[in-house]
Amino acid sequence: MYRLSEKVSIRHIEADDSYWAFDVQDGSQYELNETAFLILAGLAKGAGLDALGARIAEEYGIGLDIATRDVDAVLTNLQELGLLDTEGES
Amino acid sequence: MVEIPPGDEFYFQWHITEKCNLRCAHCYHESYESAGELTFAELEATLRAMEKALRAWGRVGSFSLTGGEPFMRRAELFRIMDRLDGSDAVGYYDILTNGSLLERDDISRLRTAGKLRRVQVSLESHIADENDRIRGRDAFARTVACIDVLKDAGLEVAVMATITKANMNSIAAMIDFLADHRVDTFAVERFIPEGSGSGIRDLMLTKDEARRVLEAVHEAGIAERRLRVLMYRPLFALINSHDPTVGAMCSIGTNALTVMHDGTVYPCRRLPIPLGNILADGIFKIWYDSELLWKVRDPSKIEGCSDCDLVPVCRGCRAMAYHVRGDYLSADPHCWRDAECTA
Repeated sequence: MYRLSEKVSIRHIEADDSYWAFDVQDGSQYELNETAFLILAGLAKGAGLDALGARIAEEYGIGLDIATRDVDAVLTNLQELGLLDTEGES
Repeated sequence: MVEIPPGDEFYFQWHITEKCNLRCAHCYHESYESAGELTFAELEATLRAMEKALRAWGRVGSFSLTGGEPFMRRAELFRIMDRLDGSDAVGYYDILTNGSLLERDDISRLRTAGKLRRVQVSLESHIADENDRIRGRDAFARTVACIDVLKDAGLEVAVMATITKANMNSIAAMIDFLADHRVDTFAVERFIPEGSGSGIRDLMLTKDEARRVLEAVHEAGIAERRLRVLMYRPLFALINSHDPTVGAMCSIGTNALTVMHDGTVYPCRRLPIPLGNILADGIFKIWYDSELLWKVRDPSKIEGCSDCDLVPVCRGCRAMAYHVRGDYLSADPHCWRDAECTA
């Protein structure tokens, strides 16, 4: 079970329609694609993998299986970047 | 001292104390108690936080060390200067002082500083009475004496004047006076009615007066060869948008922060809305989480600026908008491009 790390702040910048994750501890910044941003925004609201898959499936009109697999892959990448904690970790 | 290319620079205005020996009528401070003033160990921790941010962002730090009156904490000031001199994250620093507390030993100390660019003092007029009505009795004589001593010591001196109705007609003569005293740079700020200055709100310029003053400063600055007139300020771009030395975008949210005596962080000293505390929150959280900073970064949210072709180089003064209109996203009340604004 993943959750957005407390050290991460995410933002959609309307002026240029870009998506960002900021590490407020070390100052790192990552430009995200819209999907990654939606996933992180969902995690910030406490959504689990199933809910995130359903959200992405609805957003892009794709099957739930495909969406869930994509979400899982994105979550793995985001965790490697240090943007996510797993349950029980802070 | 090297000048830092604008895109590489990040500016910290660092108020190491709120204490001051003067009580200038237009001052943006409300209190001079300096409650919660940081210890030297905390000042060092503050500097480490600043250095960490500068390194993470790949920026070179420029600093103004000020107060209050920074020489009210002379020992700490000099120790911070030592730290700045030895920091690879720092390009240069200025000291902003009223000049009245500098002693002979201080001048010797300043001469040894490796990254001190300028000592900036404030003067409101070349006429003693006109200056002293704002800054207090004998302030003129002490400041001019300080300028002369600093110049005799070979130090670079800047003078800042805050423009009100009381001194708006003195600027050209003042530049001439300062050049005679070998001052290196001169800059003006428009008076903003805030802090102690709220008591002289009636001295704030109207829009027409602000335009006339800035145009006069620009004209004098172009003609003057003995000192540099710095025009890196919002609204100057309205006079000549093609000259890169004229005008500058408000630095809020892009390349500057103000740190107060207790570690409170403001977007700008003239816009005293706390964004957090540098020691408790850290710079990155403040920089990335502040809704105020994100709003100001988006020109479409600034009234009167979104459709203006000067938006890359101006955006008006957000502090002036806040103190006059109550909203930092409203139009700068002195902007003469905005026909609907009235000062």
